[in-house]
Amino acid sequence: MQREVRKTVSVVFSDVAGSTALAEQLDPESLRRAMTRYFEVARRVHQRHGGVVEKFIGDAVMAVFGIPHVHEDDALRAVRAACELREEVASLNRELERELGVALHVRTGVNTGLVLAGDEHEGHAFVGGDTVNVAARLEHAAGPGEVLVGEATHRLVADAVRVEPVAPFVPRGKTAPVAAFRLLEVTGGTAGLARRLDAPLVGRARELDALDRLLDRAAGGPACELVTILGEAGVGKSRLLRAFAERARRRALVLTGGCPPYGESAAAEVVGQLLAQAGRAGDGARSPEPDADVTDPRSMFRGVRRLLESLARTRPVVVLLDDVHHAEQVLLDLVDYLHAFAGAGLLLVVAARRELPARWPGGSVRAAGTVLDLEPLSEEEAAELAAGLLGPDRLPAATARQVAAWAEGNPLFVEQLLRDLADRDGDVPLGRGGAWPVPPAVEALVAVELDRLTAEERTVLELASVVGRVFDWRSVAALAPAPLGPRVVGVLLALTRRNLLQVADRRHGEDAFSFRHHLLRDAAYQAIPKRERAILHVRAADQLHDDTAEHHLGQAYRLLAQLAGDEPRPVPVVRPLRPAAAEVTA
Amino acid sequence: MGAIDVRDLARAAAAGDQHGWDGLVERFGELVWSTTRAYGLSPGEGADAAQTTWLRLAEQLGHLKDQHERIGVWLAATARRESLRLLGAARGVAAATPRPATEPPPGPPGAGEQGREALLWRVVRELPEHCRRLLRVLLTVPPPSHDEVSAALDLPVAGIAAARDACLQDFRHRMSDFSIRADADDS
Repeated sequence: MQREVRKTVSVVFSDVAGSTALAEQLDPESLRRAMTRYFEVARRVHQRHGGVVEKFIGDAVMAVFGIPHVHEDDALRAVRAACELREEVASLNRELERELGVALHVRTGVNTGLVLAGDEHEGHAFVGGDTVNVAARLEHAAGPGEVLVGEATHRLVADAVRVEPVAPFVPRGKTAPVAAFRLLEVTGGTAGLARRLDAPLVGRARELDALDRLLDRAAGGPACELVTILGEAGVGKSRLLRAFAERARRRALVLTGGCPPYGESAAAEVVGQLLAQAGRAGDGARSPEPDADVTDPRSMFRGVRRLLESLARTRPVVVLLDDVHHAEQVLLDLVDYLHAFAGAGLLLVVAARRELPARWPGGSVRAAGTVLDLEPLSEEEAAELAAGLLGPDRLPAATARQVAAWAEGNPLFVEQLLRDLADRDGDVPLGRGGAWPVPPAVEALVAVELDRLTAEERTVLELASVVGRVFDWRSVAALAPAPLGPRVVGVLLALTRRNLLQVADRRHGEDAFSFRHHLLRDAAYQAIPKRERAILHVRAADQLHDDTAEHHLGQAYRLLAQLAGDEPRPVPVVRPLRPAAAEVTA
Repeated sequence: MGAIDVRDLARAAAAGDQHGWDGLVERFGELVWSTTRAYGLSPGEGADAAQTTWLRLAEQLGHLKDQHERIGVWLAATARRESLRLLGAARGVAAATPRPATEPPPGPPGAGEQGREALLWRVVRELPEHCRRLLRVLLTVPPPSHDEVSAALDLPVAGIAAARDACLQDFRHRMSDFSIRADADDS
């Protein structure tokens, strides 16, 4: 039923500067060969980072990161691709200069924003809009060999890049100036925005105790122990690993590895990280260093096991693996293998999002490992975290509570909201009763959860979002198109298993579900094109025989009025320097 | 989610606290804006009237101590006055009658070709003038109190709920053709 969705994507727009002059210099045949090679390079680079080359327009290449599926790091992928494209064009140019005596000067613009994306099943019927226009304008404003990054993209990758600001400019055909940054380099790391893992740990005493006991058990033998920490994105898995590493180091050797979200040799990278740390700790009493060659697991698995066992002879060894939901199968196999065959003294701690068990039950080879479910923080704990991150003098207690309530106990959401508010204003505004704009990094995380659903699940979730945060399955069924109606309850239960929904408290009525997080509901709701949303609200007013009809009609009217050109948001208001001037003189 | 009391925001703003001021703008920015739009000011005129309204608040805040909890009402009334004054000035008269509320444009480019789309815009455009005006203010986020709506539109508080229900039912009636058709499309 849903043919289009509103989603946030990152767009990389590149063009060859001075191509007309190039056409004069070269025989058409040579020019075409040179351009074909450039297009091949561009396609390869974008694909490597998960981008889709949407179209070639003349000499321009437009790649989109976020279709058909969004990733939480789409903005960083786009920036990395833009940077790599520049490097690869430089090496292509060395060949072209040798062969033809010419070079291609590529200008690039990167921008992130909302688009209305067409159905993936009908190809990428991708509707442009302002996000694409601005990317093209940035490209146009860039000098040869330059990459200009728009403000929205920059906000998502600020900690992973080195940039310098360029003067805001008003592109042709636009009224508002566009802020831009000249990309100097991508400095590495897999996170566009660094996590505040240095923040004081709040809560989690129970989990740390459990990990301590598991380390005792591993140290006492007879065999290795495996624990899987599962939790939703941002709930604090990495922070817990770090806190445990600090404690465990007093009595054990701690090796840490993190799985990158994508890449050609991701598993080898992780194994390499672990071996390098093990090598440094080896203090001479080492077995022959194994090879990180994951293409031949037979010798690698055994080599890693023997190395860890030899290290564990002097003191317990803890291996912490983070972001294992990204791991390639061979890495999961390695964990299983170690759990099955490694001897005493080894504790394997694997942290992953809740989708991991669907592809890897974990510890299934030997007796089941331990699973720690990491729940969101309580509201008090989240408020304490907020105050700790910003300092109580900068964050009034009332605002800290609002931030905590908004985040619903997710520490990453707390962190990102504070950062976002502070970035915008230099300080944290109080108003709006906690209805803050969603930080882009949080929006990206939530979008990924929705993007993974089947078309049917997605439709049902969107219908539910029109009813509200808490809803009764019959209300959703009443909104569903006829053929879907009888399947609604099954789909809602599947969504509950996927942890997007929860079974709601009985006081919300019989057979009620609720969205796990209010941001999931908002994201599902906002992904529906406004016109469809308005129609669904009217249908809800007709179908649901309860007291919410007025609410639904009001929402429908508001959406239609917005589509008809009525700006929902006010223009910015000037800030008086001294709003209380009158009182002072009075 | 415990909303921060308007009185606290007003008190903080009056004491020169920028957070308090920003909080008031966050809370009532859309109400002020909607009020100017409800009187049919263009976006440019609306922006002028809204700025003047906020400027008046900055001047008067110190003297409004007794009205801190009714700041929203004060802002709505001021936005109404400023909107009418601007409309009057535009026509060279002292007082003015409002223009139709936020006249929706004929529809976005391309809408004409599609029956569904054109029909939707017509539903909004053909809703009676007083309903468009009322809904424009009433459906502001965060939702305004009836006192605030009354001040913005110079309507008696007592009639607002009934007027809203009547307008929404009218809207529902106009949309019903459309819903039926959308249902047919889906199945």
